[in-house]
Amino acid sequence: MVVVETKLETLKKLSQTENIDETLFKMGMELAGTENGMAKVEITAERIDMLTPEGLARAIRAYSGKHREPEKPKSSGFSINAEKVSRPYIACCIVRGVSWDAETIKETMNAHDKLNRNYGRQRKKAAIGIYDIRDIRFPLKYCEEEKSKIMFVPLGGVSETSGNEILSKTQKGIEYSGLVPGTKAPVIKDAAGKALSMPPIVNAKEFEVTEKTRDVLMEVTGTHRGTVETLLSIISSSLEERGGRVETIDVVYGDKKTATPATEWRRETITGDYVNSIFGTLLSAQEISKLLERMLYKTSISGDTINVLIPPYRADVLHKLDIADDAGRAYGFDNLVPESPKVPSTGGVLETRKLARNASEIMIGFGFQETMTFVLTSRKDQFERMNIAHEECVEIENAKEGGINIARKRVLPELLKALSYNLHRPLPQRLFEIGDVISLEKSDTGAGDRKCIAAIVSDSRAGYESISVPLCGLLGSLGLKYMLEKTDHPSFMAGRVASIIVNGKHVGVAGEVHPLVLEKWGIENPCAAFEMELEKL
Amino acid sequence: MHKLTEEGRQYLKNGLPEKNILSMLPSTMHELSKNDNATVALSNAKKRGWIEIHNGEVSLTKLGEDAKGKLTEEEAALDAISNGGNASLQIIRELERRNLILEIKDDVIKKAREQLSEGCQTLTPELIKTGFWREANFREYNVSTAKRFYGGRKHFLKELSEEVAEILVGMGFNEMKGPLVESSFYNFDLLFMPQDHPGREAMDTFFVKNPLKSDLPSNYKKIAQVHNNGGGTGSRGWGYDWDPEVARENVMRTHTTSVTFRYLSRGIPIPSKYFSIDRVFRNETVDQTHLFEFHQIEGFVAADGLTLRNMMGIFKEFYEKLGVKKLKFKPVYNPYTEPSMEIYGYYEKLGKWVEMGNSGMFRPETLLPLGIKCPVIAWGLALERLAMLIHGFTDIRQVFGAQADIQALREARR
Repeated sequence: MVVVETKLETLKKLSQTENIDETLFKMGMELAGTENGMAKVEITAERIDMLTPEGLARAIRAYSGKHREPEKPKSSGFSINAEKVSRPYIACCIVRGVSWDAETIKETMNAHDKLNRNYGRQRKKAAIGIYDIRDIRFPLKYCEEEKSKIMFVPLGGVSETSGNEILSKTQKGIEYSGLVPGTKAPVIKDAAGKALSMPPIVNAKEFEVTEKTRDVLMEVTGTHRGTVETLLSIISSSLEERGGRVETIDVVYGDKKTATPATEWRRETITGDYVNSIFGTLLSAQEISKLLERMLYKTSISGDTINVLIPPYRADVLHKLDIADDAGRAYGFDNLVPESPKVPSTGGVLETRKLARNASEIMIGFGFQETMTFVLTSRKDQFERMNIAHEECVEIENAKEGGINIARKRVLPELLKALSYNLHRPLPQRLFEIGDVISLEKSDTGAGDRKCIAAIVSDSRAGYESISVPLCGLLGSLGLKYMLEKTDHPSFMAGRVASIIVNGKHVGVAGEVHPLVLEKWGIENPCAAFEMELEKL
Repeated sequence: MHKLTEEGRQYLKNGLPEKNILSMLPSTMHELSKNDNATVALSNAKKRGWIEIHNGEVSLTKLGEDAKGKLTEEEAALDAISNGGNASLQIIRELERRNLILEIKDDVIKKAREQLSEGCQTLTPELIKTGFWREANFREYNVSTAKRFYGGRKHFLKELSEEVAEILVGMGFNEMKGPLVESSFYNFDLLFMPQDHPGREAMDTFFVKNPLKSDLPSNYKKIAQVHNNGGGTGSRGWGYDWDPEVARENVMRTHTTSVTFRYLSRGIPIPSKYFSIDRVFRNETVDQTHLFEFHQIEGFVAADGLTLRNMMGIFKEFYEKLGVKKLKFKPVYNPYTEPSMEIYGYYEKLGKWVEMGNSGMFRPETLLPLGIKCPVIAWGLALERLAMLIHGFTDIRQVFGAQADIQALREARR
């Protein structure tokens, strides 16, 4: 979920809708708060066109059935020559007639910032620039120059600064310098040779948009053409909502010329059958086209086929399914009556679940409390605190939670951890867990999971029998042929530890926990424990 | 030393049954058999020569006439023994044979006497065997106080997991299973999430540095096409160059949808229903409402002709079995499903609407490359959230992990 903030009154006015939160819910959005007259709206992540307050208002207005699409933009007659730049794509246009008061400027800049971060992927894929057009001479040029040669007074600065200095000394420069590696940087220049900006870093102060601004130039540069051009459609159509008139600019790449933003809408066709098969409805093509018009599409019908025109700012429509989905949203999911499907099938659980159930029932019968602990843990907990040498295991790269760096190979350390967190709780404490451990294995992923069962008894007089008795009870009740054979294990006391052998295979270990291990966990009562691989039984 | 059995005490009090029967004679077998102990009485009386039986008629003999009203040796012995005295070896054997007395070993007697002199407050096997309990003085207990004892118990999260599994099995779902360490391919790419999607960032995902990469299945080139330009699924695709090396990167799976896609890739019968209740991982720091590890309940149904209304129908059944009867559905967005819905349930106990799951129909970009042509609907919810709702926990750290309070586990409501 992404949050869009704008003045509640403005939103109500632009959208011509009073009961905003009801409408938003039906659309799949949410009015999350209205403090200080500001509406905080949570929108779904794919509706980039709603990231601007105007786009949000437009969507609400259309849903309420009150939208009218403005006239198609005309050409400004101007052009920009796009040379070969490491940040290859650019799209730009002019918008005339918006009244730029303080609030409009603030909301527009916020929206652009959000779009740059989100849709523009932190300006890498696309980034927006907006300028007061008054002193700009056309045609424009988009090219690359030596960073040291680029000179202009940046926004927020006082004197002429070189590209290098901007990148190393200004806030935006430092933040985004990674997007402009190398000795050259992109620059937009006007016909008089003045630098308008060094995209995607910062604009020149000379062309700053202020309350005196009448007409603006908007551009988007980036590494992904579709994103760049769609983003221009989004921001220009938003200003149309504010009363602006958009004029296209021709972008010239070599010998190819494209007018941006796109004025032609994308075409797609769907049928009534298609929509009904998804929702289980019986809507006619007419009804569906009315629904689609409330979702900003333009439609025309022939028979059961609906010809759909998709607005250029709808970045989220990838497949005709997305159009059908919008028809459903306009219809209202809550208007659909649930209908159980006739899908005969018999159900079942995995064998491991059955085995785990049996084992846990037996352990519970012996008075053990089941615990559930984490698979992700630390080398310290799994090896150092268990007095074992480090082993190869699944390693985690980037955990935010401190101390997490591997996946567990044993469950027992987590039981000791559980005891260490519960020292203040009544004794005896008998815990068991049936859980996953992960080891490195030959598989398509390089790792494999196994289910292990571990149990521990902590009491003032806990000893080998405290664990061997329930262990043998467990193995016996499961109907297994088992043997306990003397062995050595550094986590357990010498002479008080056994290897658990089932059907001739070593499956685990049982014994009195070594006091060194108890000390490392801060546990002051003797403990006896076992751990075995459940699937080997 | 000997003590009387219950039967022995009876006979001491009421007399030997064979003696008692004498006063009822002459009589018939039929009449006499109406009495308790008739068989014992008759057989012993016959043995002693006190009675004669002819054609069902029972009559006294001369010996029997004499024995009437007289104390027998056996009765005398019973009396003596009950008073701590003795009797002849022969009589003792007879009484033992008739199960009227029991021998008490010397060490038992010794122990019982010791216990008595110590002022023993608990009934012991020795006091019972010797009958000396009659001489003990047992103080009254305060029976209203009782110390709490904690027996074994399933983890309440497991209990809920079993309950949910039972509901799903009852609805015809089969359990599925997949690996915890997963390739980005099955976790993200097959789900049509573009490789630069913010959801794939190291911010939210645990990246695994060992083992670093997975092997890709042979269909990966098809997936590359889908991401690039739609690959014939009717979609525009994302319009970028899909990188197989990025897809090979291992992560701790962020959802069990990766398991769903392993099954879909392998090929499943149509129709079929599968579910899983298993661990997933999100790279978060632990706080009141977040854990880096939790369980997801995930289910999917693949069948021809499934519609959104069918999806709602399945949820209605499922949530009703969990006790939630009112549902609301809100359209939402997931990169891999369309349409998608958030499921809200009215939780009676709290008197409010609570989010209870996310769902959707898988996009054609995810299904067509795997050769699946029918609709597949899926939904999921976090087990821990459900548990917190049902058990009234407000802190998720109390629900799962070694740091959970054992006392809370012991005392969780069923």
